[in-house]
Amino acid sequence: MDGNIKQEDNREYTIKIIPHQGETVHSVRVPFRVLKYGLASLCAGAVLFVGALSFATYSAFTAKDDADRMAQLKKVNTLQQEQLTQLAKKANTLQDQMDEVREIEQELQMVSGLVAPEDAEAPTESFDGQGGPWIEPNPKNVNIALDNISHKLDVTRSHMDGIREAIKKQQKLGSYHTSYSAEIPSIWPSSGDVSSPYGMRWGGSDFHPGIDIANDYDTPIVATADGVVTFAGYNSGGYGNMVDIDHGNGLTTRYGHAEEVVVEAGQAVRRGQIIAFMGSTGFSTGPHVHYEVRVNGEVVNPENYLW
Amino acid sequence: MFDSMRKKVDSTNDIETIIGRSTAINGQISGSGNIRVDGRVDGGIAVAGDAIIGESGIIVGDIKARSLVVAGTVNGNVEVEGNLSIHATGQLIGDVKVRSLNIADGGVFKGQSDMAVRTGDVQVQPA
Repeated sequence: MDGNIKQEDNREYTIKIIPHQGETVHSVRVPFRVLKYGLASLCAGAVLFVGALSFATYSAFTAKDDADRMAQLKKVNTLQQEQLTQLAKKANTLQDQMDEVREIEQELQMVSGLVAPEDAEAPTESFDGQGGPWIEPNPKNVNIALDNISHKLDVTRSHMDGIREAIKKQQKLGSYHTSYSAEIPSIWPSSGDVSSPYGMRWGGSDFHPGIDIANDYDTPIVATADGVVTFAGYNSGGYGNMVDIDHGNGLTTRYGHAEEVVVEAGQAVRRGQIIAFMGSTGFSTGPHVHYEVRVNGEVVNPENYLW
Repeated sequence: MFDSMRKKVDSTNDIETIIGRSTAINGQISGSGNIRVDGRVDGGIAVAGDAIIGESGIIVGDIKARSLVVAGTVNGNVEVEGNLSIHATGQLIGDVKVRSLNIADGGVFKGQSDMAVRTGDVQVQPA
């Protein structure tokens, strides 16, 4: 084999370029080695060239593909941003509407004597930043925006729960009183603890014609239904400073032992309106309001008019 | 692929013989292929194929071939079936019998020319 290679190395070729016209003949003497390496490098060059060409073509195609995909993604992104903005706007609108509904809910709750669910209210004001400018979402704050929207929806849902509760209560009221109206006592005249219920007192010593609700001096006392004040002043029979309200339909309410009365006889009052402040006037051993409900002059259990 | 190329080369287009620049031949050359002369030939050339006289070629004697290219010097009569072409560097002194003839600007031809007259054309009588 070695001998063969040596022989091959010595071989030479002459390449003659012979014009078929009269021009000069060119001849090139080529040793086999040169021919071999030349051919090899030519082949390598060709391979490289083809490779480079195909790579260039490929990358051109890929770049085009990438650009297409990029454009597509940009389109999608823009669309999604628009949708996000729309969604946020919708959430805001929903929030506004919910606020309106909430006002109605609160009225409803006042009418039906429910305490407003403060826990549902609290996060609403502090978090959602209502009324502020809407910032165009970018990938960084998309999450924040989504959180914001989802939070708003959560708040809205809790409001919905509150409203559902109120409406349920309302329904129950409706079933108790088919002719329910603002003129039927339905709320507590004040906050506080029931210190003495309606009926026979402990030990049966005497009959208690109302309920006593005890709290601090000057706790507001409110009208439990719409009506007209028929008496406002001091009662020497033991009620002390007292207010009588006629609600029509034979219904009257009485609030006794007040420290101060802030309405006058003949004055029209609304449910929830403050008529007096709690005190201990008349036959009383401490600050409380004595609350009576009368139907056609007869005392009835006020518990039936508290919801 | 190479086989087919070889076949092609073997056919009428191959210049089979070259009389090199430093070669001189005294006598008649005859063959059936193509020939190129860059050296000197004192004698005639008669080939069935084409003959090419290179720039440095010198022919003294008659040439008979299928076609002839003269880029060198020819002193003698020429008879070709096809085309006689004299290049700018060529010089032909002698009578020729050809089917077609072209002489480049600068090419020299001195002698008589015999060409076949086109049969279909109207003959113009000399005045």
